[in-house]
Amino acid sequence: MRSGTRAVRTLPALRAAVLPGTCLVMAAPFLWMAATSLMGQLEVFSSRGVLPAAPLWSNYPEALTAQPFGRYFLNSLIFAVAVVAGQIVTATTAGYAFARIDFPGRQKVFMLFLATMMVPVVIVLIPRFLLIDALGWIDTYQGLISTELVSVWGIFLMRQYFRTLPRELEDAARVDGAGPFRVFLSVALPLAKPAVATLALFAFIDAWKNLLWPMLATRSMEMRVVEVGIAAFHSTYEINWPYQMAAGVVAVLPIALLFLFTQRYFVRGIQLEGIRR
Amino acid sequence: MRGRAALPVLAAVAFTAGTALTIAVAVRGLSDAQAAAARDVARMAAELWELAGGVDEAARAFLDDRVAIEAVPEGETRSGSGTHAYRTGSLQPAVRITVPPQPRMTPLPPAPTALALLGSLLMSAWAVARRRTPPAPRYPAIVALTATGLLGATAVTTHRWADSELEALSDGHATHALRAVEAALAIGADPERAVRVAGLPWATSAALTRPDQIWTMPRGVARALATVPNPPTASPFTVEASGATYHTGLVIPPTPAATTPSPALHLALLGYEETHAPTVPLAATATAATLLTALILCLLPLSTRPPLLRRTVTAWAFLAPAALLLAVFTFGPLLFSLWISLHEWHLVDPVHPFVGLDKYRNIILDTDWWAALRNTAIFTLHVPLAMAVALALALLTRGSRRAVRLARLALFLPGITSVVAIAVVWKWLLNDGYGPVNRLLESVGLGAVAWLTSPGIALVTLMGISVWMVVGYQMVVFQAGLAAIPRDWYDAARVDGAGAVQRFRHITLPGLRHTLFFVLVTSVIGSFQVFGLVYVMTEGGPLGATDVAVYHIYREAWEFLRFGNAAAMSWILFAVVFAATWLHFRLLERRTVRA
Amino acid sequence: MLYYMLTLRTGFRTLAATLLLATAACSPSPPAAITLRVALWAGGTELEIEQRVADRYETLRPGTRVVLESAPNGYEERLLTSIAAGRPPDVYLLDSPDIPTFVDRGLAVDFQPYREALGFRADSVFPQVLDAFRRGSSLFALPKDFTPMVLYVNLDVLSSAGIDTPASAQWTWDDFRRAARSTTVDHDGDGRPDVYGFDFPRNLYQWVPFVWSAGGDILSPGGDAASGFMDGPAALEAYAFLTGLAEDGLTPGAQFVQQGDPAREARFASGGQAFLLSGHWTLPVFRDLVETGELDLAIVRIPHHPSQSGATSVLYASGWAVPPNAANLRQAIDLAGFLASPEAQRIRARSGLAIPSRADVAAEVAARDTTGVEAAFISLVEGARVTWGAHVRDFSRVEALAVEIMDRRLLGGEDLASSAADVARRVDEVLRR
Repeated sequence: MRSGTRAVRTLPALRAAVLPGTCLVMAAPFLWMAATSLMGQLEVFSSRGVLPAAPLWSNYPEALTAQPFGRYFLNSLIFAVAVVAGQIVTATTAGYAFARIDFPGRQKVFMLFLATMMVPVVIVLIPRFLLIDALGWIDTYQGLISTELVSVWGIFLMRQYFRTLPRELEDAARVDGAGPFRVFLSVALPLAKPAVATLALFAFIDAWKNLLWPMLATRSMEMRVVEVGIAAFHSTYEINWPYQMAAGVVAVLPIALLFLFTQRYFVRGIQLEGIRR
Repeated sequence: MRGRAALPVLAAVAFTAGTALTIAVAVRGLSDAQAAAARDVARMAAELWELAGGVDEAARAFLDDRVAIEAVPEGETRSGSGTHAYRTGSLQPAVRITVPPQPRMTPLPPAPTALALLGSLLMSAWAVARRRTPPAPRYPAIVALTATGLLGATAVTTHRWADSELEALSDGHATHALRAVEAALAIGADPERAVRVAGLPWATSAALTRPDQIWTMPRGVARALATVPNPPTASPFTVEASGATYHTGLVIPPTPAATTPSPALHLALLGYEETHAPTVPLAATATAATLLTALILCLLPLSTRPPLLRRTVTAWAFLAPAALLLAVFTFGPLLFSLWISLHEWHLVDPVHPFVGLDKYRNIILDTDWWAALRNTAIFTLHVPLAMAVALALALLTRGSRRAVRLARLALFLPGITSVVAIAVVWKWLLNDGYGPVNRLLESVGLGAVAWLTSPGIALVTLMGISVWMVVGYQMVVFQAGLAAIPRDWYDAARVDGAGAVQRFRHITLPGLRHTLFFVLVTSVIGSFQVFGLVYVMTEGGPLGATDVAVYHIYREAWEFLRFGNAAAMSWILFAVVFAATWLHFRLLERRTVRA
Repeated sequence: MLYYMLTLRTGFRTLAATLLLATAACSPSPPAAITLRVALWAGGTELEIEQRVADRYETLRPGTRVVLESAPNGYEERLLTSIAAGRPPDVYLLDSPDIPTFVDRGLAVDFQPYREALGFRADSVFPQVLDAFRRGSSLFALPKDFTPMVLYVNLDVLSSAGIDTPASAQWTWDDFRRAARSTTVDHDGDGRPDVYGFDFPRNLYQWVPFVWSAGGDILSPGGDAASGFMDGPAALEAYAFLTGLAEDGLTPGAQFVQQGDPAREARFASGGQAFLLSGHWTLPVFRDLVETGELDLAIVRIPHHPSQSGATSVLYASGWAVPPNAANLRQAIDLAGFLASPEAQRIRARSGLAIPSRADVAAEVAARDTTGVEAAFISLVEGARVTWGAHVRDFSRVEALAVEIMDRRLLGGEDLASSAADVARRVDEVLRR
């Protein structure tokens, strides 16, 4: 940014003024959660201050061993990774078809897909459960995963993203004799990295935070996922906030790491020049 | 053209596979029902054996020696095939009783099989003919009609056949049940116990005068039963209620000498055709086959325009993974919920009479439901605010300096934290009395606010929290959208002397139009589906002020177990959201395309 | 009769079989030994203890495997869906409010014929607890444990206000109000009390004893009407008394959610509240504090009406039930018998979450307890009544509607008589169906 117009100089200034405060407000509940996770069980309610008098680090190992959280994390990870992989496949292909291939009935089929987003999930839970049960997949990974492999949100996202991409690059590849799958795989998909990263991140988060479906589709402790474990802390008999908060803080870490890792993909612009050469 | 020859062959294959599957589904459904009936007869025999205090003759007489009884060795607890019978009050099995299923069913239904074969032959002949002569550039209406007609006819005749077989099975089973009851009475069991041997819904005549007292029976049936002349003259007789037919039998009184049926007890035998008819999978298979065949035939006229044909096939190849998964795990369940909304359906009740649009009528008159929809609509007003904030934050956090990267993470944190845990935090922060937010307000001289406990404010509070939760998500999507705007456009604008505001208006906004549209549509849909936040924060209260549509549906389904109402509400909600989304597409997408 | 399950079950099975063929997946072969699945809602330590009970059963019955399927959240959802799918657990834990839903629909086996074989003796169980699971001579679940609703008293708060521990016999609403008033104090003078007497009992399961003790009830004796009861004079008196406590500032602001104020237990334990209305399940939260002397605690019964003498507590019980279509019915009955046996109850008593249903085991637990709290709990069973939910279907809807009566007063200032009459009318509609 060599240019010296006034606006370019005001942006960093504005950023410096607004951003830290906003970040603090946005992160405050989470920070409070972290602080609470280090308090004694009663300290939470009696302390007037916000910070723990003496951080009780032992809350973490205790909370994480009160239930087999190691196993839960593994399950959540398997679940989330499989869902991410599945959604990337289904959403990029379908999104590409809706954005780029002009076939009869395209708009109608797309609206039909989109319509499935508009029916509350609570109502398809029972039929889905009966179906998974009939397949004998209750309390298995395939039962947990199979219903979540396609996300219309993701298809929509990819469709919109593919539409923003300039067509010229694909046309160039087509002139060179590449078939549609070839064009999709070697031209369109690499260009869509920011959207794929976004999709992957959100699919991961959705799977990681999903509570209702894992609650129904799994039965044993061996198949339980992290979110169900946290909710179990919350159940009637356990009023231990610090444990719950500690589990909550630890559960955020994988997503936070994934976010830090993926954000460079959707922040970095597309290097159009590079490809043109 | 390869496609021209391949398409008719494909259509023929789809047709053949479709009819074969349809018949297989019916045959399988029937054999399941048969096995179930055999198991149930074995169970009756076992109960008779137990009633008779371990006398094999009782069970044998009941079934004309069709039953095999063998002693169970001491210590064996594994249940293999057959049914265990126990001595009174004992938990150790004494004998194992097996009843071989009677081969009543013809192995393959004659009429449907003939139809299927005929259709397959016709389709194959046509496919071969197409191969020889070049196809006409028209939609082969006659072939499509024939295929559809034959598929339909196969499905209908298969269903008829299954129906009659099931009816026969059901009648046979009813006879068994009545004989079991008679046998039990002959052994000396009291009528109630005897009726329970049959293992079927039953009622005393006292209960018949109070229809709602009859367990497990839909009220309509119970009412119909109550109107039957008492004692009825024929046995067994049938009752028509709510569009279904129920077979009903009478109990012969305990004294063998008596010939008149006892007015004391009635048996309601649920017909197998009511419970086991494979109507749904049959219809599903036939429909799928018809659609597939029709789809392939639809492609035929395109075969004169090879590029269009190729595009269509390519598109569906791309759509296949998503479409298949959606069909199985979403469209299927959705149709099921539509079916539920038209029937009296409870998770564990055995029969589900058709009630038509009753539920919809009730819901339309339900003011609480409309209040919930209104609350949802108000809640949705937070979307534009959230989008504006998110866009501003996305613009402020461009770049990749470490501070900015961390800032992005901080802004994203609300969206990724466990909803259950974060709800506890918010409830604490916003508590009327001890909540830090109110303490802060008081310390700067402002009054405390009843954030979550005032009917006028709670919904607004939830909207605020929702903004807090979704801003991070939207920011990330905007950032991905911003990344797609080529950087040289900005450079060019800068060279032309455009200021920041102009660049935003003429490059950023148009460049983001697809992203903005996407965020708007998905956020509005998502906001109409809001559930978790209400569930963990306010439970729809205070006084229904935050009762939103999906929370209302959830309670209806899982707290009050009225699934029919919940399904009907879901479809009404669906209609509302669909209309809203359609409007978005009409009003906004056209324009963005033109822009 | 459950054999006539869902129409769609077979349909789905067939569809599934087709899908299975298509995906060429193979189904797992059946295990050699019998596996019995137990559905329950235990979490954490409680589940560990239940696992110990299950392990013990496995050693008693070789060749049997017991799998605990615990769902601390969404228990009813999961149980009903698994029954609907035709694969119910072999034994399930039945909570009192769910009794009508399951028993009236024939989803629980009658244990009466097996009492001999199981060695189950009715006279050893607290009678009110047993009655919750009884219909006529039939017994549809073997009682596990139970709890009455009681008042926890923070004695330190009471003594610093100069009040004696309430003597059970004379303890009336007026005494309670006086005690609550003198324990509500504002130490730092910020205009907001730092110690409260009580917290507002919003849910029906918390306030129904007050209606009872005033000599009234919320439903007619047959459980088929609310008008004339839920809005009757005794009920109105109870509402007025309770809302009066809130309006006089003796309770912190009410939280208008079922879960109530999440901080109430901690506020009570840290000396911020004198009386806490709760069940036995709260006791483990306080036990450590009591044993280290940080908390001086007593259990008293809910105060009775000054001139009436009705029941002063409501009782919640859970029991082990077996669905009639359990895959291994007799083995399931045998397991349920063990789960309710004195041996299992003794193992379970270590979790201390509820009172064992057998009076002898409960007495043993009380004898071991040095704080005297357990004994106090048992002494309060006498004046307790089992919840209406054990007998009335759709009671969850009644409860959901009933909270409105006092909510409307506290939030909108509506007259209690008019809101009660309106709610009673709507409850009538629910009960009529």
